[in-house]
Amino acid sequence: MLAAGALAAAASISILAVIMRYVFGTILFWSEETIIYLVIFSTFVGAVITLRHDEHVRVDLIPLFLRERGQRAFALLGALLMAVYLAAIGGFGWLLLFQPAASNIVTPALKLPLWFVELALPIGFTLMFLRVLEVLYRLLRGQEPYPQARQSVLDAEASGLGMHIDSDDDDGRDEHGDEKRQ
Amino acid sequence: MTGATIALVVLLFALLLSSTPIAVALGLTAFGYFYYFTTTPLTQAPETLFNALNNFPLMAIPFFVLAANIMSRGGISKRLIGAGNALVGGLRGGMGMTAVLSCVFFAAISGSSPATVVAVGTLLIPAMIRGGYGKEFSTGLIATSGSLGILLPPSIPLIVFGIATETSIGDLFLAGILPGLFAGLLLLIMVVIVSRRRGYGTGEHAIVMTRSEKLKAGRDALLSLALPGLVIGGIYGGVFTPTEAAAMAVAYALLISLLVYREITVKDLGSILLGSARTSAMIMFIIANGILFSFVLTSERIPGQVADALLALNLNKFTFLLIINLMLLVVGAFMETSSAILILAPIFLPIAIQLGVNPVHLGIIIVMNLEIGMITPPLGLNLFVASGLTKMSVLKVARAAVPSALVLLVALFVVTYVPTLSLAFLG
Repeated sequence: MLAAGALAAAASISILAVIMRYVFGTILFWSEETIIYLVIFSTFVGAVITLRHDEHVRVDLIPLFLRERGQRAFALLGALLMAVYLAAIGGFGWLLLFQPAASNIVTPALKLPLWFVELALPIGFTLMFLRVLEVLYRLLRGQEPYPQARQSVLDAEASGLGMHIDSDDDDGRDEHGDEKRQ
Repeated sequence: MTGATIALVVLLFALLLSSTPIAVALGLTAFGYFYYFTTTPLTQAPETLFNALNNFPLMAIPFFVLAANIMSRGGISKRLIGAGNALVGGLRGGMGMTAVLSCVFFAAISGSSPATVVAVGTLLIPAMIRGGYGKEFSTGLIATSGSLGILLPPSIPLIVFGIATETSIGDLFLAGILPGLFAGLLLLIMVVIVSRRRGYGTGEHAIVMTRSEKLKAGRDALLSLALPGLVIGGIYGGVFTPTEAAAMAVAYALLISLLVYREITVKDLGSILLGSARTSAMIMFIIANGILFSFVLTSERIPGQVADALLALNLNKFTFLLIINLMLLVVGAFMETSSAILILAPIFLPIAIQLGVNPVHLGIIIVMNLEIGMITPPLGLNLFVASGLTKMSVLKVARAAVPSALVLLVALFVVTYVPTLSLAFLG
């Protein structure tokens, strides 16, 4: 929800800025920076939702040739590596906020301290890390790791049409889920 | 080649094959490099990741994603298909040609290939199967034609190339037009030949439209097809920056979907926004990590070294272009488009300039190769999407797409060695 809202706000400001420039001849000096930070926020927080739906693109080559146990082991490996990545970058992302530069430097147009706009990264990474822990837990318990996913590409064979076509009902559910979570 | 370079390459490939997301493979490799081979503070990694996105031209990407989502939900794909049908529907192989034309139209309003496959394939694959075209042929054809989405402007990969190499995005968009139309034309010819040989689409299943129906279909679609004009004209005429043009595309898409076609209401916008945020986060997350990775490559001076090694071979223009085509076809099969561009464009660019290849032309060649990469396994986004639409396995779709992929290869060859096709519109 937050990610969608930030995207909507960024698009609206962008449209507004063009209208202001051509119709009223005023330049919204703050628009560019605001759009960038809103989109960055939308990216890092949106990536959490993308993760929940298992939509981060990956190369699933080797599992094609494995049996179920091997596939599970590979899924576990992929999730573990993701956990390492998220912990490392997310952890140093928090540290980044405590560096002197983060509070001494302000952004050129909005005069916001750097730590405030950079906050999006560690927040997104931490939420993704928690999500991956859940995925790992589910994998170890032998459950479906991504219950919210619109079927993995290979499962789509079994259940057929409709997976990428209409995400309406699917999205309806998400909106509520996200409100609770974020 | 230092130890660090070899470690980087090996680690990246191992991680890519380990079923971890591509973005993670790129970012984790870069982080590992900082950790083992440098004394830079490790906060450099998140800082670079953040700064990678702190770039106004990149903001065009989420906006183009949003505009395309509004348009496909707002009934635009239906109208584009109607227009395609009005043009070629009555001919032998008409429905197959309609599929190719609709992909060309939709590609011109969306910057993404998978989106094109979904928008056109959802409606036309079932129709083609009913029309007797065979599941394999229909699915393969649309998976391939949909890949034109990233060649015809607006195009997300061309934006990424423009940012990675500091080439004008407006020029790149203009340069993509003729090669995209040319590839579309070759696909049309293929459809006609195959349909005649196999007797596809004969008679009863063809949808025959009356003259007035055709005119109405054309008028309906005209409003949607004005969008690429707005985008390209706006950027090239200096009225908008690419990012502003993308925002204008959002405004325009909203206007005609809500007020003219009236297939969606304000209530639908929430789910459209959420879907777009998800897609755009996926793309932008890969791009951020791709930029982080290429930052590492640059600090190791790898692009320069590879360029020197290639230059030392005393290649002429012809063989250089051949080599990059072969390399890109292989890389495209394994890598996702944007990250491949971020890694490879800085390597190829200096050599290209030295050999007198126009950077814009290089961009078109790279994107066209990666377009073929979208229909070659193991990583072909169009294959994934098409397999989702038709229940066929990814490998089966890949096999079905081979004939049309070969047609794209022919187009690639021509575009590579006839630079005029890409550069005709540029001053």
